[in-house]
Amino acid sequence: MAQATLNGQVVDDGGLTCDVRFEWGASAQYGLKTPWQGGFTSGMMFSATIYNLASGLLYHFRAVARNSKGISYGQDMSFVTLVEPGIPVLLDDAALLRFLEV
Amino acid sequence: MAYGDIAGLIDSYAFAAFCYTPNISHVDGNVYAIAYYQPIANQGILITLTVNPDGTIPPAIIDTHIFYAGILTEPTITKVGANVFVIAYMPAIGPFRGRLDTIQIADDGTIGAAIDTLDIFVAGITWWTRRTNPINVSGDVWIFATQENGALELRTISISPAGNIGAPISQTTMVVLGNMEFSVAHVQDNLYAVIVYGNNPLQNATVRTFTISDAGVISAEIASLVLEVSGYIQKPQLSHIAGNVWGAFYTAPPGAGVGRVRTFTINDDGTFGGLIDVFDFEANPSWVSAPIQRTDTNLFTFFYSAPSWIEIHTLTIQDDGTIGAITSTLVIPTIAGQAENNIFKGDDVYIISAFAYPMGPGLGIIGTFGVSTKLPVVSTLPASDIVVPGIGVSGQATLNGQLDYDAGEICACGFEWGATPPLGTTTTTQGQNAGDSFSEAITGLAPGTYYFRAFAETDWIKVYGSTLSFKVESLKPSVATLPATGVT
Repeated sequence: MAQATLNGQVVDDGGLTCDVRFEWGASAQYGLKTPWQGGFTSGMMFSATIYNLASGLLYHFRAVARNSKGISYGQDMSFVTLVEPGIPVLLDDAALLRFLEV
Repeated sequence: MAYGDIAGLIDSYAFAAFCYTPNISHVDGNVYAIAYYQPIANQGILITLTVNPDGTIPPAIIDTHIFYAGILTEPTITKVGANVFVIAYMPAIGPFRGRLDTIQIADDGTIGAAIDTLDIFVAGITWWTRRTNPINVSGDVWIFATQENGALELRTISISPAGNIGAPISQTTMVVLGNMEFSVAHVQDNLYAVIVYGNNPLQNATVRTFTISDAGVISAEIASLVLEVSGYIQKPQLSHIAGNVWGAFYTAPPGAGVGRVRTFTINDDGTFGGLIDVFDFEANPSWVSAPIQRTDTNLFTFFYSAPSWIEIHTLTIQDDGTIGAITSTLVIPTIAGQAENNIFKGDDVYIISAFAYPMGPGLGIIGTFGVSTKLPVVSTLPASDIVVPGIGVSGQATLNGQLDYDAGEICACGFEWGATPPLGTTTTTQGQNAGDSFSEAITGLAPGTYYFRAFAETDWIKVYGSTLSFKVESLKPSVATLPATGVT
């Protein structure tokens, strides 16, 4: 099974320490979330590794930060997991197009 | 007029051609009573007169009463009831060397007949009261201090508000040899202190504590504090400063020839905490000679007599006993002079009673003067230009204030601020005059609520504006998604 490390950065903590995490999934609706990580301030990088990903699939993710004043989302990004040799990959036309766009 | 400035003599009135040790007491409204010894006729005289609230003195005596005082007695007059006063003095003849007379004085100054008399036998020379007015202990109980036959006698006596005098209740002798100078002060609750010095042989000048029960029973001495070793001091006076801190004002040994102020602590149990500070205010004064008048929280007014003038000083003493410098001086020229008493009268008007000394011509005078106790006034104004912290930007705010009144001095103005009271950070100060506004930018602020107040400081006093607050707001965060790594 594949894995990936998601990365993000707190651009501005808004004057308060932040909690951060990622939302991710097979589409831009995400659906899955990494656990919150606490204690982040402006400029700090953060990451989370996700496992058990399907091979040769496109995944979306975005960084999320929150403090007592609100919650913010980073821009959507995506990646495609590698195709393991010898394992057939079924792609519909839409998936193929997304793959080719990456 | 700066804070503590003496405004000068407002008015004066010579009430007697021959006068010795005038002692003054408030009767009612604008009416005052003065008891003094008249050397030329060897008699005591009680007069009433008027001092207006603005300090002007109508040149007229309302009423006069004569009491048969002995030579160079130093009478005191003290209010013991609504219109009842007690005169303490040494009578002219007879075996009784101390006498108390109660007498009625109406609100308009009319002096009534004597109400009661108590003679106290002392087999020696008595310098009755030595200008120390009796102090009310509790109910009808009063404490009198006298110099009798080479000892300091503390005696409680019952005097009702109607003027009826009972027999002495209690008496305690403190061994002080020779001609004495002393005064008594109420410390707290049942605790009292006497400052005393005897000149035969030259003895230590001390402060001694004792208690008096509500019933009038005087204890033995609890503790003593030496102010001057073998020190010849004159006209010692005690004044409460703050908490357990007390001040002693007196003329220091002739060798030093100075007016001296010492501060010290008297503990709740009557023991002493030791000397704190000392201040010599003038070289070679004749003597400090009038009760210290607390003029404001930390401002004291006192008198001393010089060979041919009277001086009035104001002096600051902080709550911890630290003595400041003389803030103001008023010199009243006389042929020779001795101030004896002063009374707070109104907002800024004080009365001094004095006499020219030695005897000829022995003019008795009262005078009025003012002391400015107007403090600078500073206002705290709302903070402005509040900057929310962000990337590369520190949280900031500008604190604002205005000096509304400068009390005649350039004031150092600034701010105290912090996240919680007490406000732990002080900004730099700026010299300001009345009407000036002032600001100070503070940086490095994290989001949160901050408190601040403006202050204005002179050499003598520090005043504050009200405490205001402002809030450095926070924002929701901003986050960037970065490319994934380690994708397999």
